[in-house]
Amino acid sequence: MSTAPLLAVRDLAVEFRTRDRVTRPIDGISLEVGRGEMVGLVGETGCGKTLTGLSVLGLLPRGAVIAGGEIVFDGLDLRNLPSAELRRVRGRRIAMVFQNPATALNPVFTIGTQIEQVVRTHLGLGGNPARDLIRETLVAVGLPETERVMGSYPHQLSGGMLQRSMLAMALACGPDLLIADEPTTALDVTIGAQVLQLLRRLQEAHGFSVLFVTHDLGVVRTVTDRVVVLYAGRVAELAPTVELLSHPRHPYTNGLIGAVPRPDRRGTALTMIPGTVPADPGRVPGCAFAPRCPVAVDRCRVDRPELRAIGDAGDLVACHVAEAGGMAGRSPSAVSPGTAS
Amino acid sequence: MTGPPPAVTSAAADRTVGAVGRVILRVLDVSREFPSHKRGGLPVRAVSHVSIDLHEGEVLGIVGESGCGKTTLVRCLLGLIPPTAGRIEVDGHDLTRASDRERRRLRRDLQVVFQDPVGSLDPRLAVRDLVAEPLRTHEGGRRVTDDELVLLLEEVGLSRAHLERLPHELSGGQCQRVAIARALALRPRIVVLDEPTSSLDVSVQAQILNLLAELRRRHGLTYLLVTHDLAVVRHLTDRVAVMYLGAVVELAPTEELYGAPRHPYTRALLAAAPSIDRGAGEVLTRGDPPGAGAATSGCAFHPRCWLRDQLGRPEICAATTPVLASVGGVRTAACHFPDRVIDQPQEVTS
Repeated sequence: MSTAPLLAVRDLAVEFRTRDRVTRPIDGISLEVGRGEMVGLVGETGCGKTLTGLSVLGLLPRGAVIAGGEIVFDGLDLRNLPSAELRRVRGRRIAMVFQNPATALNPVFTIGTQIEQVVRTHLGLGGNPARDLIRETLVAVGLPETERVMGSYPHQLSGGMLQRSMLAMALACGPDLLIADEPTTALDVTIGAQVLQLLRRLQEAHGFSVLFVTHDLGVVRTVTDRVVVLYAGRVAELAPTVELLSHPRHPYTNGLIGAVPRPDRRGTALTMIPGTVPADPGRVPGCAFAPRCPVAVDRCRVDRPELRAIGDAGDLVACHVAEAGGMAGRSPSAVSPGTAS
Repeated sequence: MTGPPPAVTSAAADRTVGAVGRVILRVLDVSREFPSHKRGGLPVRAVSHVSIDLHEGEVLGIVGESGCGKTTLVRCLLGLIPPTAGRIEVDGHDLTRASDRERRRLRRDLQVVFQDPVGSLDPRLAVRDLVAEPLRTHEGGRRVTDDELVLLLEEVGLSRAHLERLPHELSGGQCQRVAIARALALRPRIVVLDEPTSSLDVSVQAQILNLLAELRRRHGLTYLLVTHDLAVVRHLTDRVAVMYLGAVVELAPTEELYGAPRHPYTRALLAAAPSIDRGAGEVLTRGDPPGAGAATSGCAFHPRCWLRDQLGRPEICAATTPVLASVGGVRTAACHFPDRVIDQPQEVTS
């Protein structure tokens, strides 16, 4: 096994091209996912987190194209891979779990049929060997009533069971990388916690890597090792999870953490980030966050900050103003390192 | 079906008054059933014998997961559907038995902000008409001036420049501000907030939560906040009612409930919530909640209850429905063993 990261995305740019205009929702994202690592991809609506995941899979929606950068998965250049070869990687070595299992699954086929199709396509298994593998996978994701689940149509199962079925479908072929896009957002709190616990357990048992797309910093704290914070299609900050949450160094990360209601700030005003996300970040000359940033200086509006290392905990920050001490001194938002769970 | 648990004694609730005022909204033993899909099936009881008093000036949270009945309860409160049993009183007047004319008058005092700000605004109406609509409806189609509307918009952080805009020209947060302006237009005393920030990003959620807190202070509003988001509830409320399968299982002052829950379901819910400070703690319950109206005997939570397992599955949990009773001070919980909820729970793997 090499020491190179399993997935390396470098300077990824994605554009939407319509007849009269071009927008650039992803404008130079770089990130790596190591082997056996769970990396969180965090940001608000429109920051490009879902598009990043879809780019890796080569599943961008119509009208969106990769305009630059490279995506290297285990030595394979996914951007330039012939589509037949990409199909062998996608679904087998890179799997995806979507936010809403009720719409991601086909309503007119049983769960068993849908997983069997994946197993047949990628592993060439059919009949009893396929069904044995599916049973084993369903048990592993906490669905011991395998026959009932396999014979059920999606509408006959609860949201939690559907998301477990999605996980089973994603994991049946033993992928190296799982892209999980908000897998617990549509679930109830107690069910979401079960799925997170399950995901972490399976990941520890099988050693696959996870790119975990979410907007929820509590979920990030629960499962991820490292976090990439996106803002307007660019990486704002990238750091080990506890380090990022306890010493946010980018003003946007700091604002995001301060906006979360927390027990010790009950009844006080939450941090507000004024203004809105730029409509087309590709056209912003300097730092995309500068117009909303409480600490921006003149340079921020003209000179785009590159990611640079700060401190000694492996924190990368795209900010001219950020300091090693973090933003903690400026606001009450940083969380305590506490005990990472 | 099991016997109905008696109403919460409002004497218990009344003791929480403290700084806040008298009861302005009283939910008294309200149930709502829906007919079964199946021929000859038992009706589904979405809300079961819920009693809650809302005091003037307080913020009361109602939390629970999908299917716990919180949305049905809100629809009953707003008079959108009649309850099948029980009373809902606004200022002592029974909303459920009021004439249309009286209901309209009572509803002025009781406004609502819904979850989906974009979907709850008519896409063809400009902000001017959206905000003027409640005034025209309730005040006999009178002429509403722009100056009046601008005052309302400014209260929610918008301005005259937004009057001509259509909902699709606004962001989600701005749409929610318009929805709040609509709710405030009639100067209501109670605002029902039904998942007001659930579809918003966290930075926008912070803006809306701050705005709601500010409006409450400025106008002495009373809020009923219905949500599944435990952090939002803790941030904004004075008291919380936790619902499970149609019934209130615990009702307590917010900090006491979060500090030391007295119902095993509350404890499991709080433990599961992913927190930015500690991550998601523990998984205490297995499986999914059964659908609303699933006929269980005894406590509705007993099939998933970690405490019952730890206590060696006492028979009473499966046999007798616990009633919502005082567990000290103004706190109430519906559990046979409320004093054992503080026991160290064993995490389960699911």
